[in-house]
Amino acid sequence: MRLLRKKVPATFFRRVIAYFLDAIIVSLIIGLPLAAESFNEEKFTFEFNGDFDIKDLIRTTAVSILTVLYWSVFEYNLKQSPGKMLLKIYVNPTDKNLTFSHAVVRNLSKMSGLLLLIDCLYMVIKKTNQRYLETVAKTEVLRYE
Amino acid sequence: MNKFLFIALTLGMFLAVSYGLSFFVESDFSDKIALIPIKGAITSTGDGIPLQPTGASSIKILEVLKDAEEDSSIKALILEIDSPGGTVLASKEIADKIKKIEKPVVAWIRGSGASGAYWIASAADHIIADEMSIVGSIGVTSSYLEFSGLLKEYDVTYTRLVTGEFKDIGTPYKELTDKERELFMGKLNKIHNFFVEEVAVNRNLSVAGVNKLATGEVFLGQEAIELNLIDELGGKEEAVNASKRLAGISEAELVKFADAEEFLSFLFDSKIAYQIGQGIGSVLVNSNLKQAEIRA
Repeated sequence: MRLLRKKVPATFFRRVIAYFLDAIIVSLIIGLPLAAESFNEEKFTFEFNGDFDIKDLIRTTAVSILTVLYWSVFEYNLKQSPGKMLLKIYVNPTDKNLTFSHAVVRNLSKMSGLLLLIDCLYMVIKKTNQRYLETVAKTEVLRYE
Repeated sequence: MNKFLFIALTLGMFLAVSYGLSFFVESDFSDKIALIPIKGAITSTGDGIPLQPTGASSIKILEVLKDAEEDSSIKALILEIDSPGGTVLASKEIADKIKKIEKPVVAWIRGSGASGAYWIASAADHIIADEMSIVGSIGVTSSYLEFSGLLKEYDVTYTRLVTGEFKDIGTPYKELTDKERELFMGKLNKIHNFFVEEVAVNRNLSVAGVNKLATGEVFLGQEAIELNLIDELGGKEEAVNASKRLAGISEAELVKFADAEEFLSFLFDSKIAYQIGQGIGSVLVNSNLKQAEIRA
């Protein structure tokens, strides 16, 4: 990999664009297949008994886990997700090597928009370039210079 | 490994896992009992019969029965019957299909399971009806209105132009001749005997015994159980319990099997007003034998 000569933190703008590019890919390869089946009913089943739908819970959980895994697998192996690659930014461990568990921890908040927002609020409050979970996972996002 | 190859393979893997999970989530492996409604007059098309405008289509019921038969999660079928009967062929083809289904079939008669509807119920493994349900009416009818007297009063003449003696048998514009009546009754008796034999075989009764009951009389559920026309008095709960017992399962989800059109007509039943008019109109206009139907 053609890494930086000088470590420069990635701008928030670049990170947001990279996130949305990845989010589009995640929607296409994970969200769509799991959601599409629910619109494939051939028969009418009249079960309006108000029971909690376990299938929805399984679908939501599967999407959340696969979403976290998407970023974790790419960042652990390439230090970049496809979105980050296009924006020329990458994940850098601040302490030793990037382990898979660190990659998972730094991406946990991506399973929910609200969690990610809270995670990002840490950047505003602390005036830092790291999300809260990035500090926990001892990672930062840098760009080439 | 090449970076782009790794990305492509990883994305492909995620896609495969998502589709795999989706398939798994949608595959429901729990045991189910199919609830199949048979309501209104039973005809091939489901258009109903005169004065009984709402109908059940045998074509659609056969499709639903096939779906339920082929669905491995369906362990038993309940026929929810509320019908005064219908045409011979439509009733017979449903009854024939039910006999071929290897899964347990329970007939649950609600308001009425009469005539052709009883024929269908008799093909099931177990029949349940309420004490006050109407059951039976084993017999055949092809009665129709005849207007020859009315036409005579208004000095209207029926000009008969036929190439065969019985070509216009059953036309409402002339009286039946003795020969025509004999021919007609011969056909009805053949159908009647077939109906009686079918019920006798299905219910494991003697033909003579069923013949005694085959007067066209309707029986209340409490009478029908004494005559062995049904197996049990009860309602939905008893029908579900009987299905589970026959299928050898302790827990099952009840799933209503109905075609989309029935669901839509349930939502938009303004169509019924049109059908009532159509039913009365068809009595007045369409009553020659080729259009009228022999009903069981």
